Amino acid sequence: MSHEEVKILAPQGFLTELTRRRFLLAGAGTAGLAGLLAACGSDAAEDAAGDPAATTTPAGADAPAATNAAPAAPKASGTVSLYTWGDYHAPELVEAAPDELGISMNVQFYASNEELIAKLEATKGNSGYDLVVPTGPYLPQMISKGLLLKLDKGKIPNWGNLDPAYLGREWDPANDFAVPRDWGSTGFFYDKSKINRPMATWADFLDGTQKEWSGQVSWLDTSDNVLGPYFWANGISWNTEKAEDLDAAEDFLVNKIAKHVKAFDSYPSSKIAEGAYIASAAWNGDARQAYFRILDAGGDPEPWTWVLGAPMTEIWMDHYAIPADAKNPDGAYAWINWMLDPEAAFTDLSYIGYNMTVTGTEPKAKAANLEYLDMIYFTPEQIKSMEGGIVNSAQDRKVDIYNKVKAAAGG
Amino acid sequence: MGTVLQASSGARRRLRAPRFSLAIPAMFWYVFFYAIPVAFIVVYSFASKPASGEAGLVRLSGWSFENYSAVWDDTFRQVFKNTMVIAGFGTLLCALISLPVAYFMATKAGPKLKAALLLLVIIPFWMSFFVRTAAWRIVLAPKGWLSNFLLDIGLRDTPIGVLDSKPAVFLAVVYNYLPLMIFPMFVSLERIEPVLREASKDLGAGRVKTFFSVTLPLASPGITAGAILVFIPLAGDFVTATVLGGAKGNMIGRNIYSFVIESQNLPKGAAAAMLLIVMILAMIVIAFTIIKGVQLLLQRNRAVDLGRVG
Repeated sequence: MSHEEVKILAPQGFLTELTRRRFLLAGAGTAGLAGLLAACGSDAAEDAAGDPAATTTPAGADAPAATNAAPAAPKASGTVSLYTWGDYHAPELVEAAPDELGISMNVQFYASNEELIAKLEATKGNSGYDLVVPTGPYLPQMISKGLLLKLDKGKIPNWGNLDPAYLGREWDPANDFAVPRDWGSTGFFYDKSKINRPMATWADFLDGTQKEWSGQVSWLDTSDNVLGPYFWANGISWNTEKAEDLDAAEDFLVNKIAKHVKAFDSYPSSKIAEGAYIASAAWNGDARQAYFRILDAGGDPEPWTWVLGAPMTEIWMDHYAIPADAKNPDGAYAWINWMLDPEAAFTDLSYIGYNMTVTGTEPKAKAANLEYLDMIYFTPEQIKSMEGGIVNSAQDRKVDIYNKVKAAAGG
Repeated sequence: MGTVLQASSGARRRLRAPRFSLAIPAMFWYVFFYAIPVAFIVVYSFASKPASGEAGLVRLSGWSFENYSAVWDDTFRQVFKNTMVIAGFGTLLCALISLPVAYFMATKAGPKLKAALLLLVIIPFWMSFFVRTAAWRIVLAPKGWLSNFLLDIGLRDTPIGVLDSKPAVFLAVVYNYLPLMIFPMFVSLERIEPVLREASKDLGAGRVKTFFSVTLPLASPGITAGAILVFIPLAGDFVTATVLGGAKGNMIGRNIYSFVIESQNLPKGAAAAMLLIVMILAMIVIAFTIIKGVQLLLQRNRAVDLGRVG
């Protein structure tokens, strides 16, 4: 695969420039795959990947429910298995689902998009999940692998509540498979009382890790987020595929950083509350939750400071999608539709602390004077400095570097 | 009776199932859940990674040893060494702690106390291993109750800092694997007839000599079984050590996980898993050779020349 400069998810101005070729290729792959899948007898997957008209549920799961008439509001029953990121949905919504929608939610967690894909791929046709929450750049491969159900937007009457700014992104141009849910970024969170200089950039974070924070700092536990701070501090795109960039990152991270890292932790908020770290790289929503967790644990959140990564940092956008082999797609539609209701979106936002894609949640959050709003909403300049991740040919190399860093840290 | 038996013996012989029939369920289990999956892993380890949008987890073409050479690098060797240190030292710690416990349960405790102790050893296993390990984080947290208590009564000047360190790795390992060592040890110690210890005493051996010359050698099958039960799963474990040990608990199983999940490269993960199996077997063979060698040496030194005695 050749790669020109590909940027994914640049919000606001949406200064995205994309090689459409990638998606043409993916499309061609899909057509070829359909035949292969048919041969395997996996009709659910075939419906999603091969036949654009197929919008109903796989393998006779609900013959009577799926009629030709577009339903006014989704009717649902039974259990919906939601496979999602850790602590990512307001508990009151999950608990209210039986009363509100007539479905009960069974929530399970994954730690990375790759884990989600591996699980769906390995158990194809029988994954047991009805609803998943993948990140944008991973959608093309999930779609071309035939893992996702083509959406019947008629079953999502609240579709119009979505902010159009988040629709039609490169990974799913017509939103045939994925409903944007929320987006966020990466920075770090530190205890001001443990360091007597201002920390404002990724370069500061790298420096602090080697000095004042040595042995008491956590880094995020994904290959991209271990490499990201180094690239951003040095003005390099974290999607670089250049061998010399990757070699330099390896040298720096393995020799200068690894021995100072206390733990690789993607959700540091609860450990911050227990006093395990004095600084942590974190996603904005999790860092915001750390404030509440410190309070819950009887600690003092005052000295803790959030810094959005600079001069560049990450942006990611997660989506609701329905696996091709979902047993209860109508239940999944009902949940998605409810989550596009401004009230529900606001409840979700108050808990997870990420930008929601439903129109009008931001003014509502500001009117309600939600705590730590600056950790949820960013300035236009900040948003301009954010860079979406892409899955490219450097993936294996990045994981190798990540393993080397962890090996050196475990020494 | 005799005649009846004789009369029906022909029919009985025909009805009798072959001797191995009771082993059939176990063999099924072994073949379907062990042999066949391992065979798949062997095959996958020579296959190649599918392209990003390609369906399937492996591409069954382009067979080569490439995965093996890609896996076998400095990182793998370094993490393997760290894993062997954690697994080896962890097994040793488990053995040292289990031996007095198992000895007490088997020889000193009365029937009621014995049952109670066995129950106490097994109760933690009723809980998810993750929950019971993570619970230590609450106890040992720098801002946890134990730390605050020690600070309050002046036993410490600084908060407890043991979490996310090498000692915490061993705490997690010993805590989780101890019962696997205690049970086989207990069983082998309990089977030793008390008369053997009495005989040793009658022949003039003290308590210490009796323990090392009679009890310990007789219990060695249990100790060996315990060591294998702890060492092998521990060498492949990648969660236990990181829950309490943070970055210091990095083990080879984590690398295999990252090959399969993060790199989406099942063939490479399969090759790493095969290498791990081979290397663990090699480690066990080496350990046994050393132990056998020491035993032979000891036996030769201890041999009593009956001719001279007579």
